Amino acid sequence: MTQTDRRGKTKKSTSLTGFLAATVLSSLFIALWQEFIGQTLGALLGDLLWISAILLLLGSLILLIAHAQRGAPYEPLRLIVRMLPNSPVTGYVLTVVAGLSAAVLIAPLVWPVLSPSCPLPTQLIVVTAADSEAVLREAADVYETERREENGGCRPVDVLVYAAGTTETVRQTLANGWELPANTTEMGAGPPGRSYLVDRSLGARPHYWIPESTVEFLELVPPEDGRVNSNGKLGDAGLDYLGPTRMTPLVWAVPDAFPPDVEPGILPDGPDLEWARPGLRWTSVGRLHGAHQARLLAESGRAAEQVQAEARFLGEEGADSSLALLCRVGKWADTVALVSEAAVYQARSALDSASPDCPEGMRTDLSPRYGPGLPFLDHPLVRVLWEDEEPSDLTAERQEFERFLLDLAEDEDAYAADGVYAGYRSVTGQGRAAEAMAAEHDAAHGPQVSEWAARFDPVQWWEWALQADEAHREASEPATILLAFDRSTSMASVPQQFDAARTAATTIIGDLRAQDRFGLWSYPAGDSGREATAATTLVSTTHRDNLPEELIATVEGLAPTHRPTPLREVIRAGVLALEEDAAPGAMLVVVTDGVRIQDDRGLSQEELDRVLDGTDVRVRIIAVGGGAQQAADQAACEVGILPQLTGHPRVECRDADRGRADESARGVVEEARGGR
Amino acid sequence: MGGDRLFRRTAVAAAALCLAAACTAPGADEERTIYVATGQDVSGNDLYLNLIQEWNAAQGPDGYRAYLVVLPGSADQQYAEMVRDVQSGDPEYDVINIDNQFTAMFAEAGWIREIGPGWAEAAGVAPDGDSDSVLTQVFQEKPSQSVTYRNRVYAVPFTADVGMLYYRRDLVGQEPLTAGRSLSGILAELAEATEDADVEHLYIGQFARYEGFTVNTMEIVAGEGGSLVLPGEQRLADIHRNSVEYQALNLIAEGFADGTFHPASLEGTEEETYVRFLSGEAVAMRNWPIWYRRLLIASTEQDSGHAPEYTVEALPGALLGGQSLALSSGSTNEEAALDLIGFLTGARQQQVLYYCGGYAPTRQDVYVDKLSPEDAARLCAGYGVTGEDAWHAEAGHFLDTVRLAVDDAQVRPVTPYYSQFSEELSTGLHPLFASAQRGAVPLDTDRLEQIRTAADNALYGR
Repeated sequence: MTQTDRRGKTKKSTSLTGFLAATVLSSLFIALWQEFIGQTLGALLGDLLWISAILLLLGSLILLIAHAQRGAPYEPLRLIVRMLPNSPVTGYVLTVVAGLSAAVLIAPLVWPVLSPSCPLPTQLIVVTAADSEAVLREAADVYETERREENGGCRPVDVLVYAAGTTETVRQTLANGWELPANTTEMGAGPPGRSYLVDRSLGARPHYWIPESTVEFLELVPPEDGRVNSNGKLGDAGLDYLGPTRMTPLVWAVPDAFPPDVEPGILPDGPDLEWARPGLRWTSVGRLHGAHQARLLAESGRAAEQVQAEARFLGEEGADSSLALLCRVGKWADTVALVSEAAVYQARSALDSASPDCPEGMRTDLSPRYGPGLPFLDHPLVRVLWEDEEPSDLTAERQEFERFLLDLAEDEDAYAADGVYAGYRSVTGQGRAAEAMAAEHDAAHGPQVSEWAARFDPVQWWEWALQADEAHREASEPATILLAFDRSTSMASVPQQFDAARTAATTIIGDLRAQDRFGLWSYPAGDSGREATAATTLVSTTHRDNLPEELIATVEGLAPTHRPTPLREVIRAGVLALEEDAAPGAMLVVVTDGVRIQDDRGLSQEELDRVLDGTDVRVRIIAVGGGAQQAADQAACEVGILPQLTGHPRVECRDADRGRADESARGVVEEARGGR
Repeated sequence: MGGDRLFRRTAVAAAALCLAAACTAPGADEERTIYVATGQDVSGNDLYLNLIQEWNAAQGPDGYRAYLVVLPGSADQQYAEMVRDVQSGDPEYDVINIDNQFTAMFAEAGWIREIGPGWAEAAGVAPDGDSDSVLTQVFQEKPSQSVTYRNRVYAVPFTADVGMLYYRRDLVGQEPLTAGRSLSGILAELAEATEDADVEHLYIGQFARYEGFTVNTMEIVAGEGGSLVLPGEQRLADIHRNSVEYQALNLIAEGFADGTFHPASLEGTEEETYVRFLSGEAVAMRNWPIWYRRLLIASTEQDSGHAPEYTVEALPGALLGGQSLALSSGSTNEEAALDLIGFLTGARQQQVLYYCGGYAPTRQDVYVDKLSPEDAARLCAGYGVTGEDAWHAEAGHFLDTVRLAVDDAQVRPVTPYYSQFSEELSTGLHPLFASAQRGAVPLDTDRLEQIRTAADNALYGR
């Protein structure tokens, strides 16, 4: 009903005008507030909401009481009641207002309690090889998303994927209950004989192991009756072989200058060609390429040439993955890289060839060449069981994950250019992205890859790999290495330096074979006088089997404690000591940051060069990086006086910063065995 | 470092096999054995192991033996291994040294026990009904808060951590910074002071895709006066164009766009950042307190030219970090484990960790009863740590700086889903900052809203 006031305007039109004005003004106010001091509006509105809710609740409760007590003798209530229409609706309206106000006040308090929180996700851990880490992380992300969607928005599983070094690393650690052997150094006040250290720093204990090849599983669980034995036990760990997750053929990655009519086969010798392969002892790629040569030579009646074939790879053993090799051959124009098809694809399709792991850029212009006899990497899924029994929810999540990975092994969409396994092939040999690359470079053989995949027998290839191992061992000559370890204080300007130095030393020691000879020095011997320019003999040069048991502990116990760095003096002394030893092909290995700190001028470069001119001893410097002394664009081998030292042809330097200490050390050992 | 360490360990394994070195496997008396799982001791001085051995020696010939189980260096892998162990149904570790932000998760899941009353009894601290106060009688308040979940104490603070701002005093001048407590103000002052210096970047932090990204981002937002997660509420702040939070995130993005922030920050963890700062690639660095010791020791090794000088103060908006010792629910050696926890968090042990390793203490008394440089050198010599005079000369003064920073620090969101929240935040924001480096600024508010929603859900485990 419309009421009229004394000025003749209707209350309805007044209300409408007021409403519109209030709306416009409020909008303007909010807009201005948002524009200029918007950050406090939310907080202010939040506070206003609370205050309004409290006032509304109190007011509506008072009115409700008044409404319910209309006949009551209390004067204040009667005054309030006069303002309220005497209708049952009044009570309902007041009740609703009070209820809403109370709800606004209570909601934030009860919401967290009522809100259905998700259960904590199950943790699954996958250990794999360096080349597979990125691709498996992507697959794990897809899996987690799928499972979250299936599970009403809650994430039921969290998958961690990481790479744990070389094949050999994982095999040894698996066999040792995922513990690295603790050293026996006595430190502090502990009772003698125990170090009380359990070293699990390699990585989290895995639920799954996905190596490059089934050949690695066969190394731990030998085949039975020519077939893969699916269940094995290794120390504390049970290993269940579940089958391949994806495949990739091994290829020759050739430069443009490579003859167009040469197919992969027995490696041809040519003056203009170099060959590079990831380490036979460190990777399945290297091992299976070695097995391929062993097989071809044996089948063509040239088994006696296997040792010679392996000899060409001595000295190139450092690369611990296909991608690392493609990084290493970045600068070599005429090198054929023996790698996997997937690695070639990854290198060619990378947005940027340079990365923190490969600052100078990977080789991206190599073309894959296929051959019918080349084997495959099949990346098997291996379940690792550390306990006899595990909770049922963990088992259920394992089963889901296994199903996902094994389904993905056959899902052709996963192998398209935008799929998680782009560049790989399914277990049937299909892979759209890889096929496109093959068609681009080798239309004749690309389509046949699926037929070759069907014929791939990992057990057979494992047997050929054993032959290649043996040929590699025979090709090597005994090494004599004197290691001089820099323990000057400049080696501790950043923690990585000393860590890299220890890595290099322990890698060399770990690589020694029975016929090898080894000695260990540390320098300087002290801070002043003769000690400042001399080295301490920690272990005199002797055969590996005569080395003291605590050798590793000795290296681990070295600390950067003295200030001087008598680099030239130590090289001279080391060379002279090895000359006296008269071992053929002896090598002095100097682990250092290259920073020379001495109070006097010391031995000059000219004097050192004269000593080097008259010796056959080779000097290899493992440069661990200069820490504060190394500029951002400077290589480790360019720090301090290293460029002067390597000016002499008998001295060469290997960069061992950025996590490359082990690679450099392995390469140096192979060189000492007669490699290039 | 991780790669080197990993391969070194591998070589150790190989060598040990070759040389048939004796392997010190845990003893036969498994029932009297305690396993303490921890991340790596980054002091470089094997202090954790030394302390464990000290405790073992005190147990007598037939007493308990504790083993230090060193987990991987990566925080993500440490966390995964600890979760893996407790989810296995038969946990192996008795004591775990967990990052404080994961206390709520482990407590919520029942993987660790309420430790307050047992610890108070073992430590001789009188409980007075308030769970917090059991710890705060001995430890600092903020670290105590960070191990308290739903009014129960689940761990004992072992080491404190807090975001610190390091900068080059030789470039900036001897006077303290006056720009007030916002990072933007400090960056402006640093820029002005180092206008003529030959340093390409002003600031370096940890913005790689890991938990450090979350910490760095939340600190900058807090340092600009905002709060990414609303205090006392389990939700993220609205991020609209005029909000402080948006402006702070844009400060980071613009920092990457114009080179104020070192581009390597996007791939940098704590140690990598330290290396670059030490190499003179940035004027200022955000990092934890433990790097001050290394910085001082390393700077004394500069052999030529103008030696840099460093100073450090609390970072505006700093977050509390740190690790605490918790008792696994599966442990059958509760009494001995509590005794070990009490030992490791004792006053003398905290002094050893600080003066000989740079680990910031959690106990109040260590901040008060400071050691002279001579006493510190003497203490550390007993642990085979020598040649750290430069650090010992500054250690007492640095304690005051750390104490103030810890007192003012903000505690990270207390939620069982911190890991998921952190992952969502870094997964969402990292690509935006990486794009900013290629010129994509200001930040897209729609995309930020999506990230906010995802991170908000993650706080509830979704």
